[in-house]
Amino acid sequence: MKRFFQFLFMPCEGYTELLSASMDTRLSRLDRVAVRLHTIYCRSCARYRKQIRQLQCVLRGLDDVPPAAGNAVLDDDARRRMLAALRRERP
Amino acid sequence: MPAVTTNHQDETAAVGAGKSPGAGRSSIQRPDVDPERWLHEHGDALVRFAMVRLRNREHAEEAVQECLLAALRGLNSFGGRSTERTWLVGILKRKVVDQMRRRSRERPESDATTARHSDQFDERGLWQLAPKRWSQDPSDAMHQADFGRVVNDCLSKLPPSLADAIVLRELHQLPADEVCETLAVSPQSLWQRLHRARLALRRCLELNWFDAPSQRQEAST
Repeated sequence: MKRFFQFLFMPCEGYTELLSASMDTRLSRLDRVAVRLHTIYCRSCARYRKQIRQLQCVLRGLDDVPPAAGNAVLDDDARRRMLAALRRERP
Repeated sequence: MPAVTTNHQDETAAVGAGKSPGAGRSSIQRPDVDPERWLHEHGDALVRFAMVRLRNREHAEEAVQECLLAALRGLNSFGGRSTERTWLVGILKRKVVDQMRRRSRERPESDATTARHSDQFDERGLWQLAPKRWSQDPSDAMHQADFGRVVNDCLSKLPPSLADAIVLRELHQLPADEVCETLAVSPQSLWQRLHRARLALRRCLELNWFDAPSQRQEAST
């Protein structure tokens, strides 16, 4: 009962922690129920859940996003340095 | 410019995982041993891959060099089953993990433990800057060149300990327990870091993309 009241009065910040943790571990049953109830009436947390899931898709697909022009290409200096190191390894 | 140091033992352990060098067979499947061509064909892609994850050009170039050296030493681990690019990226992925393991131990603890409270909540823990409706579906944004830069910028703005955690978990897609081992943190501490990283990244993307109409219009024209 005490835990139930803790959940009832837990602020959104606590729920965002649980929402994030649910992406990395399996929550306890009590936590899962509490999150589900909270996101029924809290639009902000429901939206937060949706958006951190979208964020996950973005990060997982980041290697396929077209690169910005001129960004992070190997410059001549670095290329030369690496070649020298590779030649030392196998002349 | 300081010379890049490499650790020989480390290289062979990473590359030759569980494979005995069958001298006869490897000579058949051996790809062209031409590091110069590797650099030419894959250099940019490899550096980009490492830059996103390590958020520092010098560190990224170090990782790529370690990757190519390891590839050179472990040539017979290339079975011809995957493309050369995939093989090199696989090695680079491990080099990035190695580097994060090293750097996370050199770093002072402070940035992981301070600033627990996010300014997105008031002192009672209620939303102060509640999430807004996004003006575009993120899967559509991913086709736009500028979007990648904005995501990278947001990642770079995170404190290193939070960025490392989210990079290993979501970009490298490692299981949580492997991330804990790499960064030498407890599961609770990892969840806390990932939570703070997600809070900050979501907000940063909202500010710089999904709720920044002028920039989006520019980007889509």
